[in-house]
Amino acid sequence: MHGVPRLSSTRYEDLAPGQRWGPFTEVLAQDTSDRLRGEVGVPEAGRWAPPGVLPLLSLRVLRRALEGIPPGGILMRQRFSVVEPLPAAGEVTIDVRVTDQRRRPGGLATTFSFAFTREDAVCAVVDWTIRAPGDGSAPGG
Amino acid sequence: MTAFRDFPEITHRVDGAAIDAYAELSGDFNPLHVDPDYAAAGPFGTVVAHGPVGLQTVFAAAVRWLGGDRLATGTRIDVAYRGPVRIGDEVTCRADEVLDHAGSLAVRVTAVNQHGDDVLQALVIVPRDAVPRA
Repeated sequence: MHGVPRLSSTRYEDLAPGQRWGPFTEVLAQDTSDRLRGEVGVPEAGRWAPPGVLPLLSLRVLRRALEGIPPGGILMRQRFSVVEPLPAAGEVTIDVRVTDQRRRPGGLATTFSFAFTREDAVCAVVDWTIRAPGDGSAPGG
Repeated sequence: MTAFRDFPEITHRVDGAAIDAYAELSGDFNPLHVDPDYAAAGPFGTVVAHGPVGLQTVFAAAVRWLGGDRLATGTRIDVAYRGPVRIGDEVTCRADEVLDHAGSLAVRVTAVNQHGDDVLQALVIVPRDAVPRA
């Protein structure tokens, strides 16, 4: 992830359903899994990846796909579907695509779907809906 | 109805170290999460945690409920974020309702801060045979 800017030059209004990026290979470290079992950052040992790795790796991939996080978005909703267990350490492949975008009273809502694959089998699917206030082009955090 | 193990109540205190740790692990150093001056002009007026930091209470409770160290195959979790988590907040998740239907248990979960303000609401759906009996 080195070299990826903090904020993307892409705005939510630049995105459209059907856009896709990847596959991206992410390396999950045992230490990362262990620091997401309870309170964030407090390590607990375990054999399997805790569910906290799903939003974490999704976030890493979103940053890679968009070269940073678009400014101005607020996380509204996440959905997680666990298909197969993920080991606490190892490689996972993630594809991301925009599955929905619509204007809501609070702004522009964009939904991303992340498909996690390991050894050619889907092991999890994660959806994020992010709302950008206004028309989706607002600067900020 | 067969009695199942109770969904546990879990509280996490979110301090600056937790937010910094999540930024480090995720690579997301969005100034909304790590820059007090920048965040002061943002929608919450202060630094707030990444959304999944508050969600950790639900994840930890679900895993403890099921036993072991992971979620069961077939688990689905749907989360609606309701409010920010600020530095120093104590986030507590608890089950509001457990429904037993069509081979699954569905748990409605609410996470609140120390003031009782909603942080998130979640629906945790797990295959019935994955949940230990009481």
